[in-house]
Amino acid sequence: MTFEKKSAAKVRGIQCTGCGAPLQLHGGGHRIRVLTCEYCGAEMDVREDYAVLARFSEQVSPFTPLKLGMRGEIDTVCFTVIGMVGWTSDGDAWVDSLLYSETHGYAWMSYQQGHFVFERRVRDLPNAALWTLKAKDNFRARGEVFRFYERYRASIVYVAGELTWVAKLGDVTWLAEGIAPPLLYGAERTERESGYFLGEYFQPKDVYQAFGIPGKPCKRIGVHPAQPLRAGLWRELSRVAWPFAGFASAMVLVLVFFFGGRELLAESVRSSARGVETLSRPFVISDPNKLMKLELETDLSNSWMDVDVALAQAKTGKEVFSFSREISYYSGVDGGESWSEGSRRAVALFKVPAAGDYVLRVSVPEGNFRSRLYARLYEGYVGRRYFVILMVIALLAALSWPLRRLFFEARRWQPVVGEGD
Amino acid sequence: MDTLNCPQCGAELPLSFRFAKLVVCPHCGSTIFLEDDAARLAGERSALVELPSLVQLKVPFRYRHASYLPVGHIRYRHAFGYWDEWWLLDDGGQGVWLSVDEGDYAFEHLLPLETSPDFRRLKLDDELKLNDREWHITELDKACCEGFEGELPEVVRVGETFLYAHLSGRDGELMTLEYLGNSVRAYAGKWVDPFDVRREA
Repeated sequence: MTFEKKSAAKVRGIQCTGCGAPLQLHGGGHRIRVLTCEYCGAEMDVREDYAVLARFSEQVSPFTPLKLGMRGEIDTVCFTVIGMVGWTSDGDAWVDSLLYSETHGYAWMSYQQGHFVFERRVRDLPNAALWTLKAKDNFRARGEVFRFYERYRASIVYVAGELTWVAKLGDVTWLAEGIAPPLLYGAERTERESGYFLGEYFQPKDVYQAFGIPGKPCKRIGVHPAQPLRAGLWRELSRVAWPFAGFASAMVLVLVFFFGGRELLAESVRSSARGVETLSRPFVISDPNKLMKLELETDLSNSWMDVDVALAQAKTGKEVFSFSREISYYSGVDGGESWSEGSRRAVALFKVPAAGDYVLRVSVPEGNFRSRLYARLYEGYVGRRYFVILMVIALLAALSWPLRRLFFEARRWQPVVGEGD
Repeated sequence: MDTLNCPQCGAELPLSFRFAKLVVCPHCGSTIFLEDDAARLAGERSALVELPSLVQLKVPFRYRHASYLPVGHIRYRHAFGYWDEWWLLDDGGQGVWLSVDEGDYAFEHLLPLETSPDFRRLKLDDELKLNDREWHITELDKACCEGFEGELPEVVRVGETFLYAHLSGRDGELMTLEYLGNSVRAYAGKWVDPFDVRREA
């Protein structure tokens, strides 16, 4: 083995005794116990003249955007990536990169499927034994309320670089974690020691920027337990939309209950034969400035009709308003699913030129004239369509953030909470 | 407290700690014992290489709800590195030690021991019972005082060596045992989160 000291730099060159590959010591502090060659997997004891302790020649390097020797600033503290440990647990796999700062000591940047969590050891104790909690149980630590997430057993599948303990492939750690996104607090227990750690979820682009990782962050898969739901514009949109939704809903209710109009006519106007006109009883329209609403109701089923309607003065028979509509309604069952199209109703809104006595003349020139045909006429109707449209749009916008949060939380807890919970 | 002058260069000693036993003259670097309000030259010069540190002499910092002023600093070196001990004065003028070892920060105070364990019987990674509590031995080594600066509440000597043991409690407590001659001193530690240490402007 040869040492090559590079002037006063912190990084020193070293060659692996196993394969001769050039390795680097990244100045990981005096607690570093082993250095593992990235190329041949030889684990060397840095305190015993780099004697080879073990060889992990079969290990496969897992993917992480962080590389040994990278430097980055986290919360104004400069860290260097000095070691790597790959873990597996129940089919999940992740990589913890050991970071070292001369002022803040050791920390980890955990990477799993596009998610990053910055973790460090803390000695603040929780107010409950994490090993006995159930999913979503609350506990307190460091002044925060955490919700217990899960406990699991993880084992080492990969080691590289400098580590503060003699790690072996297959070494087992038990972990119990709670979350208060973006924070994560956990207990860790090995056969030799136990301790607590605090994690914080980092946005991938922030980690890429901090460590100068080239390229774009990998796409995140799933929701990480500690991942915060980024509000973005959604929460603002929701906040702004609530007053509009409230106003529009109130207006619709007021219009429905107080401005539905005064009923002038409600009677059957069914024709006795195709094309024969039916005359309604006379009725009085007292205010020509108010909007009139005519509703026609049928009991059509898989048939149609053309309806001609005319509003005429009762004394002179002069038409002041007329319209024609095709009303059709079809329904059925196709492939086990029911369907329908068309409507059994028709509506017309209009105004009359003057107050007075009027009648409705109704005929069915084409189609099913035998269908029930019922007319309702209202005076003083106030249209509510635009308020209904505003209400629907505003409600969708207002609910967008709560619904988004609901779905996000469901995805967060789905791995650990059963359907019955 | 009356002002004192350095017996070597005559400069005024900026004493901020009433019970200081040792001070390094900021002008000539002479180490001065303070006995019976008289300054006596210790005949040693102390110099510390400046290394990256979150804590700096005479630069106050806040930790959670309290403010501290580092007035003294000792560096101990061991086989694989070093650690620093800072003597701090809090808002009320009370002194406390802050131990800094590779990002492990701990406020420490002297703890009377019911029994003193024999250093030769201590083994790395063993469990040890002290004052009715279980401790895990995380480090055993020999340390040497590399240097000091500022004002200190006790007399230390550059080059003085001692054996030490770092212990870790089950509930996050820390303890250091220092073996100097026939005496054993225990310092109980309370962990300090370095991310909560904020230098004051």
